[in-house]
Amino acid sequence: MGCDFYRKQLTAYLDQELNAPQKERMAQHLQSCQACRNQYDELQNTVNLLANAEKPALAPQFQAGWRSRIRQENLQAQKGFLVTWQSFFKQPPLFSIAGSLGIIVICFCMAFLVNRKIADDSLKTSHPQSLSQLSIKESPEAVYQLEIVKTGKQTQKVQQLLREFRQTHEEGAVLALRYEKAKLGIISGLKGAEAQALKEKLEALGAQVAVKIVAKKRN
Amino acid sequence: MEEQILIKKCQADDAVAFEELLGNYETMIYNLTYRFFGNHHDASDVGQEALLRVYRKIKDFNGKSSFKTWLYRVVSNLCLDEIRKRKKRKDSSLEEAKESGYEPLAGDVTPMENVLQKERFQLIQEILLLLTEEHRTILILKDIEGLDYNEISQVLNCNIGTVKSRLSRARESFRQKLATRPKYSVLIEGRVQHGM
Repeated sequence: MGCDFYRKQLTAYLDQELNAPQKERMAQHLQSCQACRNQYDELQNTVNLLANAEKPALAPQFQAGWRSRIRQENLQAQKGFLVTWQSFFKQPPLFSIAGSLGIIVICFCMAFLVNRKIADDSLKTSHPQSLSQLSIKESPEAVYQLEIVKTGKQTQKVQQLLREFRQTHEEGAVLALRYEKAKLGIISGLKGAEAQALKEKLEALGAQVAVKIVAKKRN
Repeated sequence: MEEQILIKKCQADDAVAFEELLGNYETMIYNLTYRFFGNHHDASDVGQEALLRVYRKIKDFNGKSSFKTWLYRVVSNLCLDEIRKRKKRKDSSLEEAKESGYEPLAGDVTPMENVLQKERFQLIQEILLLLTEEHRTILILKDIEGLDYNEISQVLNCNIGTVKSRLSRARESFRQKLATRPKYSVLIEGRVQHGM
C-alpha cells in the first residue's frame, strides 16, 4: 500500500477512529515515511490550534436580547389565545343579529378586562427578579436592564422619551429595543450611569421602572 | 432542575423553564454563531433568532438524540440558512456591520489578555471565514466544539463515512490556508505532540 492510501486515513488515525490492525499499520508506515510523518504533524498542529481556540466573550446584548424576545413571544401567544376566543363568538349568529351583537359586545368587554389582567400578571410572573429595585449606584460597572412595568398616566411622553433614547444611545440597547414595544419596554445593555439617568427621567414622568443586572464586570 | 423535566415543561409552553434550560446553553450557542459569522453583531442577532427558533420548535424534540445534539442541529441549520440568504443578497455581514459604523463589543470583558492569544483567535476566525460553509461547519463541530463522528452525523444528517471524508478535506483546506500566513509558525509553536 502506497502513501496515498495512508494519507487518506490520517484524519481517522488522529481522531483514534481506526481499528487496532489499521492503527498499527499506520504507526509502522509513519515511522518509515518522513513525508507522511510531516503531513501528520502538520495535521495535528492544525487540529490542536482549533481545539485550543480561545472562546469569544459573551455579548450582554445577546444575553438580554434573547430573554426579552422569548418573553415578548410568550406574551403575544397569550394575547393570541384571547383573540381566537373572541373570534369564536364572531361566527355567523345563531340567534338574532341584535342578540349576537349583544353577546359580542359583552365578550369584548370581558376579553378586554381579562387581557389587561394577563398582561399585568405575565409581567409579574415572568420577571419575578426584575421587580426587585436594585441600587444602580452600588455597582456602576455592571450592565443593566430597565423594564417599564407601568407607563403611568403620561404614556405618550414615556414613549417619546424611549424614541429619543433609541436615537441617541449606544447600539447595545438599540439591539434589544428593536424587538420591544415601547408600552412594555425592556431596555438592555445599559451601563450604570446611563441606566440611572434613564430611570430617573422615566420616573419623573410617572413610570414604574424595575432594574435588573444582566452582566457584571469580571475581576 | 433535571434537564428532562425542564424540557417537558418547555414543551408545555413554560417560558420560565425555557429561560432556565437554555440559560445553560447560551454560551455554547453564542460560540457557535460567532464561529460561523466572525463578529459579535451577527453572533448576537443570529444567536437570538436561533433561540427563538428553538423556543418555537422545542415540541418537535423527541429525545432520539441528546438535547445538545438537537440544539447543534437547529442552530447550525439556522446559521447556514442565514449565510445562504446573504449570499443571494450578495452582501457581507462584516461589511454591513462596518458600514453601519460599529461592531458591538462583548461589553468590557475580554478573556484574551495577551497579544499572542488575540492574534491566534483572529487568525483562526479569519481562516474559518475563508472556508466553504460545508468545511467551516464540520471544523467548528469537530475540532472546536468537540463533537464525535456519531454526533456530527446526527447534526448534519449524513453518514459517518461522509463525516470522515468531509472532515479530512476541511482540515487539509484549513492547513493550506494557515500555511500561507506569515505568523503561522509562531502561533502554533510548542503545540506539536507526538505519540498517538
